[in-house]
Amino acid sequence: MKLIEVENLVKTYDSEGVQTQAMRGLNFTIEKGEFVSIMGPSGSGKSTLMQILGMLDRPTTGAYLFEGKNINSYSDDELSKLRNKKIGFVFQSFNLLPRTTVYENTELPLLYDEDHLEVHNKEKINKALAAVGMSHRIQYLSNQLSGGEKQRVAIARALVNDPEVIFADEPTGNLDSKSGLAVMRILQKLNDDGHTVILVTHETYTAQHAKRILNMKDGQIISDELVKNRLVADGEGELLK
Amino acid sequence: MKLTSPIKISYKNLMAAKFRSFLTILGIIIGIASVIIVMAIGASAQQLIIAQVSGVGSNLVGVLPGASDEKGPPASVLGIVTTTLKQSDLDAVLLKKNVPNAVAASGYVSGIGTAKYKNNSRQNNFQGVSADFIDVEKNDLSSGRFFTDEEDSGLARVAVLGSNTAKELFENEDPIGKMFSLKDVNFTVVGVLALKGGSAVSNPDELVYMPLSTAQKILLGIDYLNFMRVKIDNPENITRAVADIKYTIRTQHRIKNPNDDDFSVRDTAQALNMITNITNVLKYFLAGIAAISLLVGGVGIMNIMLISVTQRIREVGLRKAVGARNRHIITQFLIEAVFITLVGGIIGIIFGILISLLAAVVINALGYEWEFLISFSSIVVATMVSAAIGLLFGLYPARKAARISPMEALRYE
Repeated sequence: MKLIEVENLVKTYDSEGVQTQAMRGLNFTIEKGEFVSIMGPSGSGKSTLMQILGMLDRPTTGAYLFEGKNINSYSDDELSKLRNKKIGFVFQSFNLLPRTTVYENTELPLLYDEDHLEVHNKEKINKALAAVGMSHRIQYLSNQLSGGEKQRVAIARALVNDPEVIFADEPTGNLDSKSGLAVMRILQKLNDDGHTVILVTHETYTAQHAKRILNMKDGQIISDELVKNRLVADGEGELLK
Repeated sequence: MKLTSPIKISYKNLMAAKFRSFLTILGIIIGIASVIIVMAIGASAQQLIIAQVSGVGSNLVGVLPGASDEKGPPASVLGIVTTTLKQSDLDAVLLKKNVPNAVAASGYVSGIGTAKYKNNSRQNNFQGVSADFIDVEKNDLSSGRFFTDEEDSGLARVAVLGSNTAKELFENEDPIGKMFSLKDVNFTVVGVLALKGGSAVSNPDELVYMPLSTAQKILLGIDYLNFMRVKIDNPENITRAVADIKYTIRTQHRIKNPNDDDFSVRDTAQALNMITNITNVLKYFLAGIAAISLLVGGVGIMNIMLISVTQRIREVGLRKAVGARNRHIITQFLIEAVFITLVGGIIGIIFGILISLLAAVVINALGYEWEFLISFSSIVVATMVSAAIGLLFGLYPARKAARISPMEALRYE
């Protein structure tokens, strides 16, 4: 079943009269349950693509169909609702709220889920934190955590509303290799459990943990292929560089 | 979205930058406190003035020479000498058949002269009054007696001293029976009044009282009265008594049309009304000035909220990424602004009450009957005003925060 369909997607930024084409006509589809890496050097347009796929921004021209429906037919509030229920984000710089507990950070998306206020919130949060192995730090403040722990909490926050797809933008970029490996192991586990995962990275090594790689350059996809020797982050450090 | 969450968040933000938060809140504290203080001190001052005026007696009716309209002051207050009020008017008012409710009445003339006793001398205000004076005014004698009708009509050179005048002129001596001079006329002291306390208009403790006729004929050389006061048996009868007095004096002066009146009759209720109106205007005027500082405090809130929006741009981006809508963001920042101003408002109210209380204690220690008055309504209004300032000055920063694009916010370093 198609989760994401993109047709001739173009994004042009207009900054002080200078037009920059970040995406020049992209076409691809992503099925439910896939694990896709979007790869490319900086300036290739991969972050722009993730922002549009994550509904944080709209394309200039072209169509983006999510679960078969063009996102341009949604209002801003409806996109907020979609982001809340169907999408989870993991960022390079964690973006946890400062001076706020692990529990409260994980709870954040639930606060904006107006259809299910106060329903089984505690269970959902505990489940998400257990899935990333952070149950023992539940009352810690975000600034008392190590980088790897912060990213695991960020993943729990992305997970808590049981989204269709998780977008991870350079999730290992600010981590040491051991913590990075732990994060990749969690993402692979989530994919094994049926979540669609889309990973944006510039590292071939990290990208190879996915099942499929979209290679971008200068706003275009230059290759789209399945990963032959997929890396599996399971053991303790055996895949460390 | 739960309401407790933004309150908790704003509390955390306040605590994270304690000194900056304190400075921001200080603007609101000063504004609210000054409004409370001005309102409290204004109410107490009003109370004090009213108490002094009504202390003269609520069953007194004053008759002043010269016409005046109901609301304006009589001509004599403006320093215009009118000579139309005479002793014969006073006698007529006292006749039972004319004004049945009048129980006592006194005419008043006043002047100033040098009072001398041995080596002591002082510039002294004096008043010529009728023997009824002691009945009309709520004055007590501390020693001796008041002068009589006979002494009045006989131009007796006797005097009753206000307590301060007695003290300064005679120092430790008992003045009763002693002779002193006023405007080079010798007077015998027959009585001393008890200390009454200062009234802003004329202080009875500083005066020398003498028979009306003595003052008119010997000291001043006039035959008219400055004014007279009539004591009515019961405050309820004042309206009728005022009508009777007007009729009596009109008959005396052979006036047919009330518009031609050459005198005016005032009761204390009227005077109190006038004073209340004037002091109310002053009170609200001052509170209005104090409220300007609240406006300045509000601008401070707006400034700090704008800084807060810029500092937390990534937080806003993240909240939007996980599904917060524009109105969620607006609500959060508005609640923060209202939280800050409410905290400031409550601290301001507490400070305002404490300072007003302190002022009351100090002013009481200075010997005034100063009541500590805080109206519940001023506290309610102050609380609502501070919340409204939070809403008003928080709205622009909140809308600015809501308009941040999540994409740009998350990219912001």
